[in-house]
Amino acid sequence: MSFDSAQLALSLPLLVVAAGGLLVLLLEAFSGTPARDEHGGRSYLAVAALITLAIATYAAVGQWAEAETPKAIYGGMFAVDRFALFVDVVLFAGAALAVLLAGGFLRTHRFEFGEFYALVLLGTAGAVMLVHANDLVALFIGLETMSLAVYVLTGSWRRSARSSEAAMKYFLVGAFASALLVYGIALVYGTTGTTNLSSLGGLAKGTGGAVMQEPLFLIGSFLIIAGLAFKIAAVPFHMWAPDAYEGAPTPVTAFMAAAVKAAGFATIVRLFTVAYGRPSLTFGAGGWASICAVLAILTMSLGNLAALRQDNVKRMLAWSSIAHAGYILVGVVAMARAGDDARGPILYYLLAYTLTTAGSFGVVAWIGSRGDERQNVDDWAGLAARHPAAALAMTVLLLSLGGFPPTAGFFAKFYIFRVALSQPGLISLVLIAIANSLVSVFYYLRVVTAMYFREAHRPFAPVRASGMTAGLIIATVGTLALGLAPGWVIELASKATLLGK
Amino acid sequence: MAADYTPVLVALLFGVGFASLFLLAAATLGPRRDTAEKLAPFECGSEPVGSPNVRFSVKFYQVAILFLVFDIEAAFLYPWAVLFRKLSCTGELVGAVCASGVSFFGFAEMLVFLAVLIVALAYAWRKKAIGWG
Amino acid sequence: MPAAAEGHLGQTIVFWVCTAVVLGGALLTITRRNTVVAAMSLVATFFGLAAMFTLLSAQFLAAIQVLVYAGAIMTLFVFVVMVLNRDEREPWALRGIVGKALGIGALGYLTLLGGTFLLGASALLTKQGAYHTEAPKPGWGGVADVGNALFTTYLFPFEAISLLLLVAVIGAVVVARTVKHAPPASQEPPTPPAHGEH
Repeated sequence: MSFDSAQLALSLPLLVVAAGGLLVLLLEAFSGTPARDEHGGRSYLAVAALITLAIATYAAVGQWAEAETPKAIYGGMFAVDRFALFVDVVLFAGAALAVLLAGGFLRTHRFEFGEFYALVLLGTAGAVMLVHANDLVALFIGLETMSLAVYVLTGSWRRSARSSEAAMKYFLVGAFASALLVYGIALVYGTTGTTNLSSLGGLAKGTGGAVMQEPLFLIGSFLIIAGLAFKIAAVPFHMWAPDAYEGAPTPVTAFMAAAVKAAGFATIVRLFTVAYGRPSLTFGAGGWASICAVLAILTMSLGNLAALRQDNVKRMLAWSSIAHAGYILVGVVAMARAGDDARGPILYYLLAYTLTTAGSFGVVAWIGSRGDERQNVDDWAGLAARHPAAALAMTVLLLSLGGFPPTAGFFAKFYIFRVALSQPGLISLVLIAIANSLVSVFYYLRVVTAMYFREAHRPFAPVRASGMTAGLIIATVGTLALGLAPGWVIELASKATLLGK
Repeated sequence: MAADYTPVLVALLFGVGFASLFLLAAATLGPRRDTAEKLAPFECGSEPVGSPNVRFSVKFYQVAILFLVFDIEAAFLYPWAVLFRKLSCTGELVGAVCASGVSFFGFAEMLVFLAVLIVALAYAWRKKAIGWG
Repeated sequence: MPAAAEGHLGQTIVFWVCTAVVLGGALLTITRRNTVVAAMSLVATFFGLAAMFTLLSAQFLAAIQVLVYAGAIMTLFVFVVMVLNRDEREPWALRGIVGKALGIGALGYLTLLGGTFLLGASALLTKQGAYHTEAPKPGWGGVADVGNALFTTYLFPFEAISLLLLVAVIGAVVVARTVKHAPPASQEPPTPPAHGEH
């Protein structure tokens, strides 16, 4: 038995994040009892987490050139390709924003705990495993590691009853979804004798393709899709999301909406492209594209309609994040026919959405003070007069979520709709998506009008923390920059190679 | 093969059979003279103190979860121990003898696994999750 | 049913006995009001499953099923029962003759639906050909065989499991941590020392 240690270098982003998580945990446990004063009690852990994420980003970027030819390492379990590296960077950005937002938020609401940063890093490590997984077993372990960390983070605000309730709901539904997924994996393995995505894709070419029409294989595949649909909160598997997003500590919500969702979509893209990429499966009865089209329509429509009715900004953003999953699913449907051309727009969307949604939840985290989270739209009235910079940032982020030019959100939708329109038969789907985007403008602008055109009825006492300010600036400027110069990012994203394709 | 398990099955049948037989015999043949003393929940021979339905500290749950995690860890050690000789050989084993040379592959893979869990143990220890102080 | 296919009467009998134990235990688990009785019924299900794994020549899995599930996870269940200590009244129940009739009607409909589905599906499920139906090699499913897969092909997921277990430990410590100074508005009781609920 021997081991090719060159493989370690190829999985460097994962190793860095995992090692960083262990290190932060040990620092937290063994640093004695430092003077936990009002300011910066545990900020060194946040700094350690940020350094880890920066090194991991550097490692991922460094592999970009080499990964043009995709490789499979660790016995075919772990894919190293540009697609995964791009999503890695998106994940690291989402995690870094969550870390930046967390310090001030945890301190303001008096529940600082050092494990927060370790859990974010370990959850990110799980997400990285998930994104690179070229095998259903590795996929499952990655998904569980990520989910478990996020369940704990969701319930970490022990004094908040809603946080515990959110964690309970998220955990029960998530465990149920994992059970569906693992049952699906068992059925797929039982019928094909393999868990490797490339091998599953290879079956389609050989004589084994008949197995992919077997009822048990189709039931198993459907269960896998349902399990993943729970994770990205696609309607009708979304019922946990509004409560979990609303109840979780806001930086955790940002992490959930950004990183967890991006990892879930990356998995769906890889699974469908590599394992189910057979043309006859894509649009036939029971084919995954038609399932995704139905999911996309339901997700967009219900997400937007429910968001319209919300008075709570955080809950509105939660429903809006469900609606955005619907738009990305339009891209996944387009992928069935457009193939590789659809991958760039999906990647661009994931990056744009991560920055925008993490930023907007960041403003929600910023505005609250101890014992008063100020989540109602009325609580935001008159923000522009008192805190013009924050109101401007929120406006930019909301316009991006609504898809206004020249923000990242506009180009994200534009690229997705363009690639969908290039395929015949998807016009109606795109029209539904555009109608939904128009509906969404109402609820995003409702917050903007409250901030700019209404009087404040009580004073603001927002969180004062340099990390949070930095996070908000990075998210807002990033959203604008992606919108002003979208060319090079979409260029980069469209060069993303995928293993086994 | 499943036929190898016939003795297990027989032992199982005997166990279940005898237990049922004795329970049944005790229930039907034995005289029942219930007194208040006999019906009281047994608490080491002392007088019962309060209701048995008290809420226990959440510590129990924490210890149970930690036990579960390290139990799973031990479950993984079991096949590793069986295979250790094979994993430590650079070539194929010839009748349980390794002719080609020693590799640290088998040792290292469990070392990495255990290192992460030792971090978990150290963390739980420092956080006083083990122990009742 | 691999047992029936081999025409081995003993295995078929064991299979059906195990099925009865597994399903009976599961039914008792969800119908008993006493949580400890429900947990013990689950143990019966676990043992039945372990026997079934043995029938399928997955001996290692059977051993783990008994050690981890019937042993450790059951301990956890019983501890949770102790910690929560909820009373045995049902949280909700169908009340009145109309509710009960509705419940029975729904159950009947479900049975009918499930039955027709199973009848339709059984033809597909017992079909042979495309699936891998060859008999397992000697030693398949044993400790050495599982270990071989775990420590070579599936080495990466195996190492990744250590991270998963680490997150589980952090979760247990963070979630079960006692809250120091609860504000007066909070309804959450600070985890109390043992005291009666009633």
